[in-house]
This record gives sequence, structure tokens and C-alpha cells, in this order.
Amino acid sequence: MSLIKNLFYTVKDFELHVPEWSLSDSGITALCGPSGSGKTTIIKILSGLLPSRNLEWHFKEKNLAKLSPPERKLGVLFQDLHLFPHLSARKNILFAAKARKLSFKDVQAEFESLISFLELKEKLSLFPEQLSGGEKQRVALARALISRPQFVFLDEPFSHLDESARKKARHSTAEILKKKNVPALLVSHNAEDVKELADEVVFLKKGRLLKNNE
Amino acid sequence: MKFKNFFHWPALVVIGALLFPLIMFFFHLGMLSWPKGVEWLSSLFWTFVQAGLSTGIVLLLAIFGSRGLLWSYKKSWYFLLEGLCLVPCLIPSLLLVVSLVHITDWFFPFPFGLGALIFVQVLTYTGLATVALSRVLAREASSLSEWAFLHGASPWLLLRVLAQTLLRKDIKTLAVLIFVSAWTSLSLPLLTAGGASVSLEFYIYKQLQDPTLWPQAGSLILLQTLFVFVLCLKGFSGKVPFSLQKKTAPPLLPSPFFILLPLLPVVFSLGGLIFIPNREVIADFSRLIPLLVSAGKTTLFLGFGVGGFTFGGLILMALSFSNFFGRKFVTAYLNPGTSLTGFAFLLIPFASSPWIELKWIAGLTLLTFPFIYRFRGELSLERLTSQVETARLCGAGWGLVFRDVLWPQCRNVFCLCSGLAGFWAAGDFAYTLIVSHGKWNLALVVYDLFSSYRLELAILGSWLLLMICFLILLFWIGVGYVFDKKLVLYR
Repeated sequence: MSLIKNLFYTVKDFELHVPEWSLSDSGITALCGPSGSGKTTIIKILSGLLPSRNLEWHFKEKNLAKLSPPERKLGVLFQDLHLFPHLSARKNILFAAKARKLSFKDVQAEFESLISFLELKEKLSLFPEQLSGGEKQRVALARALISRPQFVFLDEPFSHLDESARKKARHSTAEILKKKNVPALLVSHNAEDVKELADEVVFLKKGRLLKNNE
Repeated sequence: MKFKNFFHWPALVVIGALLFPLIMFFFHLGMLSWPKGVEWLSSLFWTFVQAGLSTGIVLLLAIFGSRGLLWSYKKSWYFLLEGLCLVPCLIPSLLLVVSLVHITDWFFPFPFGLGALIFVQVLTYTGLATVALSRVLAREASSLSEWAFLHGASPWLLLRVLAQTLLRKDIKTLAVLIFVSAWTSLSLPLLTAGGASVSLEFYIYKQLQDPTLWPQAGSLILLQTLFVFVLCLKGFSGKVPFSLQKKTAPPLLPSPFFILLPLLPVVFSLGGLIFIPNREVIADFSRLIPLLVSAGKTTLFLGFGVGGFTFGGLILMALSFSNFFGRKFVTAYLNPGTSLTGFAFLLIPFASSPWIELKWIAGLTLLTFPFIYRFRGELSLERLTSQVETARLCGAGWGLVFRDVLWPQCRNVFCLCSGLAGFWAAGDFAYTLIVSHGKWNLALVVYDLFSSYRLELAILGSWLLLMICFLILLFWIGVGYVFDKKLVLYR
């Protein structure tokens, strides 16, 4: 288990109030809740994009909250994927390795296993605008995993896909996370996503985590 | 964002440069004193009147005009029409006034004064405001106008509702932009006010010509700078209304008749420059050739230089991506004031070539940069925020973020911005008039011809100036094109 303490954030009329949270450090934890309940805000705070004073995140004997976003070694798959439009699929994936100062040699085996598993071999020279929704999602997933992150955030990663592509993406995501043995926090509205992927489910309402009996 | 980011050096360089005129002036001044008499109060009052009236009239015309521009959205020549609407705002104000005076001279002598100043300001900004509002309408009004169309509402009712709701912030941003531009302009009062103190900036300019009045001018400069800073900080709350995100014309609003409103200023701003010179004028003009050649060279140098400095400034702002305070400051600091900048650089003792040119380039960059950054540079950086966040989460340091994310996607826009800055700088005469040190640029020559009533020669000079301005713009667009080719290789 990793322990999160003092996860507070206030903006206008919204208040996120999570004094303590034991977040699993293995498997996939799903964070569910209605729109505006603060799910994405939690991801942004834990990844270091939004400030939260006094936050603590004890994970593998380190307080990640004290580290800068790059030092936290996280992988993130956003709802909009945020692929770099000026880079090819290959460069998009390898950007994460480059960012962690890993050479192609260092990640070559990882890269090849990822692209073969995610069926991206034929797509590597294409640019994001030339890829389908499912292909973009797979490129973003490969980018999130190539640099061997210690934790992955999945923020509505399948929301822009149609049902058949969604099913396939769900399957490949679950498989690869299991294969790499990386813990993940999944934010999703979709009951099927949660049912198929999550080992544990946590509910959030109006900025507060609900207890099991709630 | 951490506060220590405020001390991030690239943003500090830009902020330091922008504040340089203020620092230089007050360092030299030592002390301030409140202006005596009521003349400054009358200038302040008339500044409010002229800037307020200009803003109100421009917005009113733009609301009508945007209905005309929306009508052209589905035509293939839409961008041409939009470009035409922007002409009065893009060309140097000197050329617009020369053209306008030539046109009115066919009917009656040009009525210099407050009315003329407001009229020229309306001509300058109507097209820009129309383009901005039509883009906002296309972006925001589609669903509401469909609903209004189905329920039989009139276009005016729809516009009124939109202005009070969805468009409120954008209209506020636009109003602040026009108001501040009208408030701080020195060139337009110099050209049209006929010597009357109808603008505080013009009053400050007159005070600065007498060194004994500098402490009083200093107080007014401080007052004006703070007022403009606070107004920009509070006023620019809306989204930047200049991006074309959606090229859809909402139903009910388009109306071809209103396209005349933003196009009429184009006729005034260029129509008067069309004339066939007689032999006498050509002979007079040819006598000016040696001066025109040397002034033309200086203008070219000036335009390229300001473009280069602007490019450097934009790169520094991209390097300051993480610096929230720095970016906010530059966004709010829209205009350091022509008079203040001019006199600050005049205080620097070096008064020979190439120092004069360097003073011109540095000063004009300071005057154009905040505007260019606020309305184009910032936008191009802002839209990359999510990509930068992703890159940071991937573990990228700021160096890599700049090299691999910001630079490849911004350099083209930065080149365009540099071209526009160079274009405007080449057409400036107000700042260079203060720091002329006896040297001429082409705009100064045209201004001199204009103010000595040699209108036809001024028109010929205007064409030459316009050509040089376009040459500078094209050069920077060309640089952007070369970068784009590189971009393909990079991919």
C-alpha cells in the first residue's frame, strides 16, 4: 500500500478534501464518481501539475510529493492523450525515454516488446493526425510505459473510442499493465472499464472519498 | 507554480527590458513633483473622452460589421476579406492619416482636432474589432443562434443577449485593448490633434520637451503607467478573441449589407494614396532621392533589427514557460508609452551611428513587443500547455521541453510576430522623432513632408515606405518558411 496524506485543494466553489488515503501499490485501482467530483484534479495533484500544500505520498519508502513531476517517475495517459502533433508515433513514444535520459539502446527491448504487443509496428512513421483513435491511444500508452514508470495514471483513457475499439484497448491496457507489473490509478465513468480493469474501486463525491458502506 | 520561478532569468531579462524606460527615466530624474495648473486635468479628461468615445463607436460598428463578415464565412474569398478589414490597423497610422487628409482635401480642409482624432481611431480599429467579434460569434454563438432562429427571435435580440452573456468577457477584452491603444497612442494625436492636448500621452510628450518640467512629467508617467497596467491586468479576463477555431456561420446573424462597415475604413486608409503625380511632383520627388535612399536603408535596418529583437524576446518568453508571474507581467504590461520610452533612450548619452540605430531598434522593440506577445505570442504558447505538462510528466527537463515541444511548434508563429513587429517599427515616426539625433528614417521623411503640407510628395514617400514595410514582413515570413522546411526534416 502507498499512503497519501493531506490531499487538499480549493478552487472557487469546489473543495477537494482527502485527509488520508491508502492507495494500492499493485494492480489497478479505479477512481469513480460523477463529473466535477475531483477525479482529474486528484491525478493532477498527485502527478505534481497542481500544487497541494502539505501533501504527502509515501510510495516505496519515498515521499513522492516532495519531488518534482519528472522525478516522480510516473506515466500518465490523459483523456485527450496529448500526443505531440509534430512528432511521428515512434518519436512520440521515444520522447519519454529521451526525457528520462535513456538512450534508444537502453529501451530498445522494451520498445520492441511494446510496439509488437500494441500492434504499432506499421504505424511508427505516421503522425498523430494520420492515426485512428485506437492507434493514438496505443501510442500514448506505449509512451506512458516506455520509461519504466513506477506508477501509471489513466484518466478516462478510452473515452474517445467507439465500443469495439474500446473493448480492444481495454484488453490491451489490462494485459500490458499486468505484464509490466505497474500499479495504476484509473479514472473512468464507464462501468465496463471499471468492471474489466479494476482490482479495487474507490468512489469520490464532491471532493470527498466515500467509505465502503457509503 | 513556485515563487522562486519569478527569478528565472529569461523572464527577468524581458521584464527588465520592458521596465528599462521607467527605471532609466526615474534614475535620471531623482525626484517627482505634482503638475501645477489644471491643464493636465483637462488633458486627462479629454483622454477619457476620446478613448472612451472611440472604443464605444468601434465596438458598436464592429457588432454590426461582424454580421457582414459572418456572411462571407462560406465564401472561398473569406480570408481575403478578413485581411482587407485588418489593413487600417496593420498599416502605419502615418499612411492612414496621409490618405485620409488627401481624400478630405478634395472636399474641404481636414478638420484637425478632437473629432479628427476620434474619427481616425475609429477607422483604425473598426476592422480589427469586427474580425475579432465575428470569430468569437462563430466560436460561441452557433447553438444559441440555432435556437433563436427556430424560435423566431430577431438577430438584434440575439446579439443583445449574446453581448450580455457569452460575449461579455471577449467584448471587455476588446474594449480594454482599444481603449488602452487610444489612450497611449502618441502618433495619432501628433498627426490629427492639431497641437491640442487631447491626450495625456501627448501632454506628457510636450512636458518632456522642457527639462524643467520633467519632475511633473514623471508623476504623470507614473500615473499613466499604473493606470494602464491595472486596466490590462483586470481587463484582459476574456479569452483572446482572435483565434479562428470554428469556421461556421451561425444562422440568423449573417447579413451582406453590413460588410460595408469594416470595408469603408479600408477605402479611407488606402484610397487617398492613389493618385497620378504630375511632372512637377516627380521632379520634386527625384530631388529627395538621396535622402530617401539613406532613410530607406535605415528603415530596412530598423525593421529587420526590431524583428530580430522581437524574435529573441519571444524565445525568452518560451524559455520562461514555467514562470507564471513573468508571463502574467508581460501580458498585463501592454504599453510602456512612446514618450517615456523615447525620452529614456534620449537620456543615454551615445548619439552617433550605430548607437542611434540601436536606440531606435531597442525602443521600438519595447513598444511593439508587449502588444505582439499579448495577442499572438502568448496564444501560441498557451495552446501548448497540455503538451508541456505531458512532457514534464514524461520526465523532460525545461531544456528538452523547449527544444522538442515549444520551439518546433512556435518558431513559425514567432517569425510572423517578428515580421509584424518589424512592419510596424518601420512605419513609426513618433518614437524616432523623439530620439532622432538628426537622423532620418523613411517614416520621419513622410511625416516631415506631411507636416510641411507637401501632401503629394508625402504620398509618394508613403508608397515607398509601404513597400519597405512589406519587404520586412515578407522576409520574416520567409524565415518562418525555411524553419518549416527544417521542421519536415526534423520530423
